[in-house]
Amino acid sequence: MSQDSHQESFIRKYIFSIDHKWIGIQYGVTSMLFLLFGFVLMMIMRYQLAYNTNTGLEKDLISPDMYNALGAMHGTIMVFLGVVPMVVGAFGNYLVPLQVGAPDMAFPKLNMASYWVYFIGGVVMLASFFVPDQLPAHSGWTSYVPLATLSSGPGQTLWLVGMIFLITSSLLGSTNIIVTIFQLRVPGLTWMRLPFFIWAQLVTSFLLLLAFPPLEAAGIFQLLDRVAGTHFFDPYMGGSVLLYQHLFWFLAHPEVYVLILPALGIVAEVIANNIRKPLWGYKSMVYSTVWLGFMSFIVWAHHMFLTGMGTTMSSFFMITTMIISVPSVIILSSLFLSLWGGSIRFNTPMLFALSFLPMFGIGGLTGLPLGLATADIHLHDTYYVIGHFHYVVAPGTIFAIFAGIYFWFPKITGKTMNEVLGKIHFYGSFVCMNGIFMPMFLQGLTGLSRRMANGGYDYAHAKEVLYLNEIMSISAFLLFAFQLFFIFNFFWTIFRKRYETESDTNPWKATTIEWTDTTSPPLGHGNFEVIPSVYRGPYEYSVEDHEKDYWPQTEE
Amino acid sequence: MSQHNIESHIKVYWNVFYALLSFTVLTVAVSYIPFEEYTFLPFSPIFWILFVGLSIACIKGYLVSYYFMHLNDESSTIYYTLLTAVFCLFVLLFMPLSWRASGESHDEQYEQYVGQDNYVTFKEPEHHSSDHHDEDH
Amino acid sequence: MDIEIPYNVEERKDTGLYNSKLGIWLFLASEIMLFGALFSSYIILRTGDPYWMLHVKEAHLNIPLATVNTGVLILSSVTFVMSWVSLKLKDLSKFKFYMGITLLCSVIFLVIKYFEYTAKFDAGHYPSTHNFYAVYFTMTGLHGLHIIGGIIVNAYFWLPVGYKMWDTEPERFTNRIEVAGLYWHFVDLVWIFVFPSLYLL
Repeated sequence: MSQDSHQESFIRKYIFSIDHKWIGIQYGVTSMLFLLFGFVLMMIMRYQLAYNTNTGLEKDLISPDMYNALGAMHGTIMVFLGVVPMVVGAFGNYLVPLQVGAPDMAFPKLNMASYWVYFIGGVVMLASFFVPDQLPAHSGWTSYVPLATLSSGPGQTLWLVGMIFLITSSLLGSTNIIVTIFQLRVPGLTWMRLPFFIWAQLVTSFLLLLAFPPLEAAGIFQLLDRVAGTHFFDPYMGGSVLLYQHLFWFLAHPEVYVLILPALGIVAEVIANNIRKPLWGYKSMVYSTVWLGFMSFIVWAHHMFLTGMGTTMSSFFMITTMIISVPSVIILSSLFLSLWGGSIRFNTPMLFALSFLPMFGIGGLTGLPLGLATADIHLHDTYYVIGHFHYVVAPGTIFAIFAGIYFWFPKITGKTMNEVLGKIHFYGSFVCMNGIFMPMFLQGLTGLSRRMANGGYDYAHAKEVLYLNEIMSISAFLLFAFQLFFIFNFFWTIFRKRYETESDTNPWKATTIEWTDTTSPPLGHGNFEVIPSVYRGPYEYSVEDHEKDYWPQTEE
Repeated sequence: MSQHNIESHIKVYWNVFYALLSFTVLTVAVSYIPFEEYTFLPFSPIFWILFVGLSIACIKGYLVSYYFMHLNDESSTIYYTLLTAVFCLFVLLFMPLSWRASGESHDEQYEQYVGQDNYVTFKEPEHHSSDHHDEDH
Repeated sequence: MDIEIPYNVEERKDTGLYNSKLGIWLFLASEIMLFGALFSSYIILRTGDPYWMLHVKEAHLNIPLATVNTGVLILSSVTFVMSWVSLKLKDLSKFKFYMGITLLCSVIFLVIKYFEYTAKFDAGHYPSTHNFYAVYFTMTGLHGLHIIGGIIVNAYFWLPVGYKMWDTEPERFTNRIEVAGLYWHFVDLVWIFVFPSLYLL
């Protein structure tokens, strides 16, 4: 291959690029737009819940059917079009080759294909908003049958077709990440010297690879039921309603670990760097992550305790659910324990990463009553569940995403985001997140059901907690306002000139390969001028008798 | 793989082919065996039909994966990947079996309700004569 | 402007694999889960319907024809292996011969499937008629789509546009055939389980 500089056309370089860094940025920008869109949908819903619940239908901002549609699409967009493409597609694609020392992903063209299939899937899903006089999918992000099979309009069908594209994109992407990690590690980078971020991405990719196909099968069945008149899920004709739920949750439970594991990876990297000492319990964290991956396949029916599946099945899944909390606690505790004795730097990424720990802790702990079948009888399908999972994903994963963006921004662009704006963004978001989701536990404990367009105002048991709706909605609007600081900071830093003080390619003084051996941004072709070799583990900070307080992996 | 090595493999591949064809004929033939007439056998006839049919399918599958897909000399990475997938597959297949096996009719506590109209019997709240006129909405 | 990705052709020492081989096995692992979900659903639907066997008897599945189909697919598997062996023995014309037979067998498989399907439609049996047909058409249909995908890939390698890589990078081309072969054997493997489950048991 000749090495003379080719003038790549705009299309080859920016639209159909096979460079993992640019594809990572494509994933990142697209998923951020989807996250914003999903946020807007939620704000419309929260306005309805705060101000329109008993004014009569004619004064409502949106109809109850539209409320259901917004709810279903908010969930779908946030999970499948927002968070997963961001943590796996953006962070994974950009950082995995750099952190293992590879010139690109194992299959660059497949990488490009996975992005464009995701894009098409997203377009198909959003198209359901633009069908005249018809609603988008409105049967919950879970699309339970028979409601989803019978729902009118093309919205649900478009949802199913969109899901098939998204699942395909996931499969292509996860294969790529696994092969890259197995095959393209540089000499000296043994398994136990990998940054924890890579382990998290590896297990996540296995989860995506093996758990998504049953949902694809369920989607095909539902599509045939809707379009071809089959009766897979029709109990009157010998079908089974519960079959859908089993197939759906067989994916959707590993899916939630897909949402949290890369976030744990990002947080581990940011924390290790900003405590200037090695992570406590790296080995335990790695084994726990692998254990978590395996166990995530045998807990799914804890989402189905109230389906009448019988006490034997419920007991089995309750036991496995209790067991799976152990590895998650090990990982979280290791991160907490790492802080002891560290020289903590409180920059913006570290603030987000630190706040992740108690927020994820609250999310995890509130999951325990849900995992106990008896307590779940009262709490299932209430606002308690919404509070629980949002704590893990919103002040959990999304804070980890912000930590990652602030942390790796200097590597991707060569410029560091503004600290003052970052701190305002952090403090405001932290307060508002808790303002939105903490009251949900109170509402749920009274038994207030989720997915009700009128917020439950006509239920006696909800009367004492209805006032919280306005507090939560105002917190949501304020949360949006604080994101504007981030958005402004993001674009201003991208488009401003690079300061002289920003010439350091390793401003955080980190030890991993992406920081120590590449330019900022990394080289277009092949990332590395010289293929590095690795001599030690990923978190050699404050090593005794070493002049610097960090010892890079690739330094001899 | 060396030239000489490959040539010895050719014979193996054709032998596997003949074996697969034979097993195919065998599995079709076996499907016509009237197991329900052999009452001396333990377990139900359905068990035997399924057991024999699936065993032959597994043998054929083993032959294809071991010889044609050269799992016989493949690296351990592939083995572990496949083991993981097979673990997940068994969980997925185990689910319907345990579902059907743990149906309501097997729960003794529900036996007493089978055939009744109400699962729960209400006890009407005590009526005082003074409440009588509150009942009209 | 293609970057040199290591271990594309030569094997990495500690894993013993080249990239696309690991890649295809991972893809096959996900396909195991996909067909596994179909089998799992088949078990649930069949055990949940007491009238299932009535519809099976009414369907009059053509077992002899399906047995021939099974034999045809097994033949295509062994000829695929032989085409890979031919490349290892540096014989391109033998490769083309065996790959041609593989393609012929795959097309015969689809033709027989076509006759089976039309026979069902003529008798008024559609996927919507009963869950037995729904499962039958979905399983064999998805399998058939995988056969079509395989035909497209194999035809590409059989035609000059595909095998011209043999002249410049013979090892890489041989690896490609090995990887495509793994996919094809998997498709055969699925049929080995689908055939008894739907037709015989």
